[in-house]
Amino acid sequence: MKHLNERDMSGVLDGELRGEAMWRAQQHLERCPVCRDALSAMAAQDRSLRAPLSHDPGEEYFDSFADRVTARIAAAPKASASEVLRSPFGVSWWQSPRKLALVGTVTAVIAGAGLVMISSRNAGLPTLANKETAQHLDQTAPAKQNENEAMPGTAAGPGPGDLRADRSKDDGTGAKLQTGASGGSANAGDELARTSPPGAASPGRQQKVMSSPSGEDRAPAANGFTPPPPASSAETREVDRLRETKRRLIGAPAREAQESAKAPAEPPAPMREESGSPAPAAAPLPVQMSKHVSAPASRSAAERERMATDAGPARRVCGVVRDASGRPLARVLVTATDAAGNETSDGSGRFCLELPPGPHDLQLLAVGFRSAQIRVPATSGEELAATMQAVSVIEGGGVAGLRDRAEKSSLKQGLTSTTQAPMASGTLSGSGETLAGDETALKALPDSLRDAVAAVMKLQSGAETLGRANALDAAAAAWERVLPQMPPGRSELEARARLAECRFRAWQISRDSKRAERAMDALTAFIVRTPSGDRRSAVAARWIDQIHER
Amino acid sequence: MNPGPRRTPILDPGDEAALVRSAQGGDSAAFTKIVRAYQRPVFRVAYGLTRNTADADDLAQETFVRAYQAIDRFRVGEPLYPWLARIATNLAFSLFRRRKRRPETALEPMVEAGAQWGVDDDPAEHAAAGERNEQVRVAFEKLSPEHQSVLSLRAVQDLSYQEIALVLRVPPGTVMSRLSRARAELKRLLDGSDGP
Repeated sequence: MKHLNERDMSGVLDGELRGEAMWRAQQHLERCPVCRDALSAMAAQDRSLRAPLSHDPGEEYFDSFADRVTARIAAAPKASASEVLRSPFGVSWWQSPRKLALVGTVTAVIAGAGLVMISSRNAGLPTLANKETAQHLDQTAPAKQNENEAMPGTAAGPGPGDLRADRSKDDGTGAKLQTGASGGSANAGDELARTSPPGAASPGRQQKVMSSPSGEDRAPAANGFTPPPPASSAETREVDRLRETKRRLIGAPAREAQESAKAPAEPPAPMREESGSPAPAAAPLPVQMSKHVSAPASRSAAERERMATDAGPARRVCGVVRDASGRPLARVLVTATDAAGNETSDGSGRFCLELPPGPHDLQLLAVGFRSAQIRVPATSGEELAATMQAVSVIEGGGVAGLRDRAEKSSLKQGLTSTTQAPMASGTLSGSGETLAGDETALKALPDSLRDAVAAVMKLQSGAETLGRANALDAAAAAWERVLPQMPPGRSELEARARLAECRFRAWQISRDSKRAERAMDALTAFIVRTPSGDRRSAVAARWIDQIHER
Repeated sequence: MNPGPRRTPILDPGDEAALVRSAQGGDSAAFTKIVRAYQRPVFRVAYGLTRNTADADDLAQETFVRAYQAIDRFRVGEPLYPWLARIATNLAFSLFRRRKRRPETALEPMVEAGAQWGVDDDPAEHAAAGERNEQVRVAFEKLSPEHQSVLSLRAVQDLSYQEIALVLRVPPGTVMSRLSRARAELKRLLDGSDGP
């Protein structure tokens, strides 16, 4: 069995893997204990960084921070700052030997490429093994001469049209670009990005952005990264080169070749974003083309063909996913295995998909559950119902240990294990505000995690009933332990809300500086993750103000 | 799976834009509000990179000084925090280059480490946690500055790949690659430290 690579595992851990890659990774994790252990170890390693890399200097430090900044601003000369900000890493490029070397290399490559392009313009066609073909090419050679004569503009220097017309030149640059593009090597691209000035649009970065098959590497325009125009695509050039060769081999008129050479003036064949292959509207290509078109391109063509045959009025298929005990499951990835499209279930376990007519199979995937498959009948309009069986994906020791600790701790605080844990935590008397509220987010968790969360909620509820600061501290610490295990999204936000509330309540009861710091940190961490318009961010902001006032 | 919720700035975007506009117009009180809003996150970024209170303090202050001096060039409407974090990161890299060595170590995080957890933890656990933290710190310091920064921004500051991409000015795909290599390298170093 091929295990997950470190990049995918890292993406899974951060919830940043997308689409099919995430789907495959989840499927693999479900059946591979080795990768599950590795994922848990990676998560634990990340957690272990927090303590040594974090330090809170205390409230007094931050109280006077703004004043110190103001004093420093008054004393600082204005010019120096702009220099630092203008260059991405704080120094001008000529001050860094590495960047200087990179600039020199880029300049040399551009100059070299220019020389090669100029010198190869007059080079004859390469010798061909097939004598008949060579003879044919000799006969059609005047067409090339005419073509060059018809383009006086190219004498000043090689333009984009030359890239299409000159085959010997393309054999060099095209092959190079093809290697860079088809490699799709994140490492290579990353190394280039690492060694180049981040602010500059280096060729290496452009190449990487262009070659990314998933489009994930395409940074938004706000980043300052713009993908290169499709005309520079290695595959497009390869296609054009072959087209040009075909024209020559069949003795195309010089006029046609001339038009071809001017091709950059008109938009090139539109590129499919996901595959980088020419659009179907492109002219038919010689058989030889198929060797040069990448595998994803041919796959895309097959997909297009299948989608064309499936064309018809799409229908909306909806359903609900529950666990074995009937509770709705959120964030379940529902994928139609025989049609395009996938969807994720919402907080109530509900999902809807647009599917072409006919029967379909849906695959259901969720962390902590065995994958399930359901059949969508050809005609039924009823809502689908699916049940998923829990499986422990998250390292058992950590969560189970936490649950034990939380329960032990709650007993230590004089609470009984039979205390009913309300899903929404209570609030201290005298305050009508609470950060807790999205209880469905905490219900839709894997069994292994849900038990631990319920134990922590029980601990918090008991602590609030007791009204003791150290009990609330313990509840907050328990939330902090469970937090790294929470899937990103609503459940994580809810856990952070409850953690912040515990910290704030503890500070309300015992107003020492340490509790104030912790409350500030927890409230800030909650606010920065709260979507705009969430009423709870205003409550948290008020609480921060209260702490500031004290 | 869907990505997690998008991180939002500490200030409401509308308020943040208004404060930036005022600061661009020369309103120092507005800039002070910005400082107060972002002083903790910026200090955390600075400390994560330097792991030294004095350096982090200097770097955090300098970050706001540079931000003030360049506020005219900041495009109103864009998120402020990644911009500030980028300034702090650039300054930290400049500092490393000037010193030609890795950040100095500090005792504070070791002292604080146990206190960050629950009140019920026993002293033996604190001691074990302290030892582990020391191992992690030593291993972390052996990483390259690029790996340190990406790991700190993700594992400690909890930024998304998109936000890290804005801070480091690299594509999100590069963030993913760099992060996975940083984690693998840290694991290798930690495994080595645990071994005979």
